[in-house]
Amino acid sequence: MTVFATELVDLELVASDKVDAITKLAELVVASGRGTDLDQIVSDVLARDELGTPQVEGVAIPHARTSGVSTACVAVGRTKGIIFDPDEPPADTIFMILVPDSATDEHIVILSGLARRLMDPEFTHFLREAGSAEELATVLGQGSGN
Amino acid sequence: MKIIAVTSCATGIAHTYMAAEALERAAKAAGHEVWVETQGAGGYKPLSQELIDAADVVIFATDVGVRDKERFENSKTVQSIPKTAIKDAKGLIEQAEKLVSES
Repeated sequence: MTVFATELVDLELVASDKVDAITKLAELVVASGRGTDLDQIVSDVLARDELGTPQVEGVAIPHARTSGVSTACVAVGRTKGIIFDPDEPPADTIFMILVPDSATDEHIVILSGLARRLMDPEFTHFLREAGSAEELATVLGQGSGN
Repeated sequence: MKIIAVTSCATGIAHTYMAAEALERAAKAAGHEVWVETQGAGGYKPLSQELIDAADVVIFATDVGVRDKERFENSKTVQSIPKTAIKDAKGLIEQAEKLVSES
């Protein structure tokens, strides 16, 4: 199972708030076969969110280590502004990173490379502007050796 | 100036590396040399004592305790958190510059 995939991207995510957005992205993860326990994923992501979810250039990055997934994966949603952090403007792109309890170093390398790329304004611009789920998943995979 | 930064966060998969990248970019943009030690979920490669001793200043952008912190006991340090580094790395570099120029 790849970390990135077209079926983990929803460019027209409709969500009322961050809990709803996280839940809907987690549903994609479960539907794709990468996740096994929706409630566990959502509760672990929200627990990590309590400590602060990073956000750059309108992209929020909720993330967690969770027993609810069997493999590391990244789900991406584009939506109308969702507030993750009251100190930040609403996020229009949500990038949810999930790592299983048994994460391998290989996964961590992919995800840490991705986290670094999020600090590149060209990359965040691409995330917000990519025209299709296929394009987005392809570019994510290319830069990350996946 | 030679700057060392140490980054860490609760999960060790996102903030740690975003803060590292932000500090590297800001330090280089300001014309400094920079080395970052990411103490993330993927373990970490400790910077050598020689490198630490040669640095003008150390920036901590950490949410959890710094591993092997005794290496830095003789260093001038700026204490911060990853969120600040991600949001305003330039500001942290400026704090570090100020700390060095005042001493």
